[in-house]
Amino acid sequence: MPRKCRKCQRPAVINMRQHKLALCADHFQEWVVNQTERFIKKYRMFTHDDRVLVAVSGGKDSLALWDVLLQLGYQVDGLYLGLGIDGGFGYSDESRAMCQAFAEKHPETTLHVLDIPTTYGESIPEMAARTRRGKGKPCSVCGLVKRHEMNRIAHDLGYHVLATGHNLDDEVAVLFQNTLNWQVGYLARQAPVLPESPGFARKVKPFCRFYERETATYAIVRGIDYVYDECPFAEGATTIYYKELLNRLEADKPGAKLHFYLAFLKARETLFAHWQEEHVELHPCENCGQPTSAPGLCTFCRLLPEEVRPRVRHAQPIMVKSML
Amino acid sequence: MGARVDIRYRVLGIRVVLKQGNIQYPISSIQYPYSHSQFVELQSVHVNHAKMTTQEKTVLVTLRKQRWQVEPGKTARQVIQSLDLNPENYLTMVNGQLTDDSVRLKAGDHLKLVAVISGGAHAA
Ligand code: SF4
Ligand SMILES: [Zn+2]
Ligand SMILES: [Zn+2]
Repeated sequence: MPRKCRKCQRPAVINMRQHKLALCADHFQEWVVNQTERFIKKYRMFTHDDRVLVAVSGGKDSLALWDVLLQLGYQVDGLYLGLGIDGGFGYSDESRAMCQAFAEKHPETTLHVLDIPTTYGESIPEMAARTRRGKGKPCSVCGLVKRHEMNRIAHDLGYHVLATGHNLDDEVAVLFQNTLNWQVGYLARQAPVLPESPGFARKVKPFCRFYERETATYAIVRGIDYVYDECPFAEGATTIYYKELLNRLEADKPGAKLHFYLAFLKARETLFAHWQEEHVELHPCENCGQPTSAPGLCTFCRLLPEEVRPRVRHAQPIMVKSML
Repeated sequence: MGARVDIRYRVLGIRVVLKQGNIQYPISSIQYPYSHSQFVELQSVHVNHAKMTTQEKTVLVTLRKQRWQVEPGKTARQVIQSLDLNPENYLTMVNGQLTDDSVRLKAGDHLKLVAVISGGAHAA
């Protein structure tokens, strides 16, 4: 027999050793929803008056987040960016299909889809190859494109808040990396909420205190279909390496990851109380208007071939809405 | 009452039933290829051990395309550790049911490991 649920004695689907808490499928779902609400309030992420856009990738975390926010009754819609990545199994097509399938089951929400190759004429790997950025891996171009387009679309469609499905394992992997390299500037900015600034939506991570195994468990017990296979370019990523390393620590010392993160958030308050962001003058990009540090074009517009640039001003995502 | 089930070969995870005699037992737990959703009263069970295949005497463990056969009697967590994997990196499903990893595995069980680590930061 597996362990029993602490609340009802039925068989547990998960044992969270860091909380000494085993729960059955029903009580686990309830726990995730309640905890998320608690974190949203604790870190003052958003309220029921805010329009929230969740960046969905078709993976477990972002779809689970969308599901929880809907259950909590927030005004939340999804944004999917098609990256044009195939990897031999149609990664982008499959992830888009997962997001659409989710949206179709939830008439109260809308999925916005922007396909990068059809909008700008090139897939992410093609952009990376043409501009020779990122030593064979398109990830830096991918990150840059996603940041720009998510901000632009959130702004154009009137969403104040951009939510991502980052979980605690994502956060501690980045924290660990930034600590090993003493990237003080990055450490100062790593938080569950990144406040809005002119031209940029507020960024929030409502799942930042859940372990990755918890978001996966939630997706499975809720029957959410997600892309199980990774983006082919994620293989060998340093974040994965750090996650495995930290999980070895966790296996020996349950709660080590949670403690590392929470203690950091606490230390952050004193460490960076007088932290001043280096003052950089921001200028609107000549092409798209998004604030950028150097006068002229922003990094995204510089990435695009000249004849394609004007499209940035008009490109709109398509809307997928359930006909239920 | 119920159908008489005479299973000669593919009896998976039947030990519980044999110990308890003739009881109502969900036939779905007998698994492939005798998987039906209705309940059937087991009246007699003839197990021919000689004809059992290794799969029926061991626990099948799968992780994506990898497969292992391991001895029954250990917990899912112990099995994962014996394969030199870290239990923190996987969820465990036993015969299609998500379960915490303290569950003890019987001959014929299928333990499916679901990897939870993903590339991460690229979702942003
Ligand atoms: S692994 Fe790299 S290319 Fe793939 S989605 Fe993540 S950032 Fe983009
Ligand atoms: Zn329960
Ligand atoms: Zn621009």
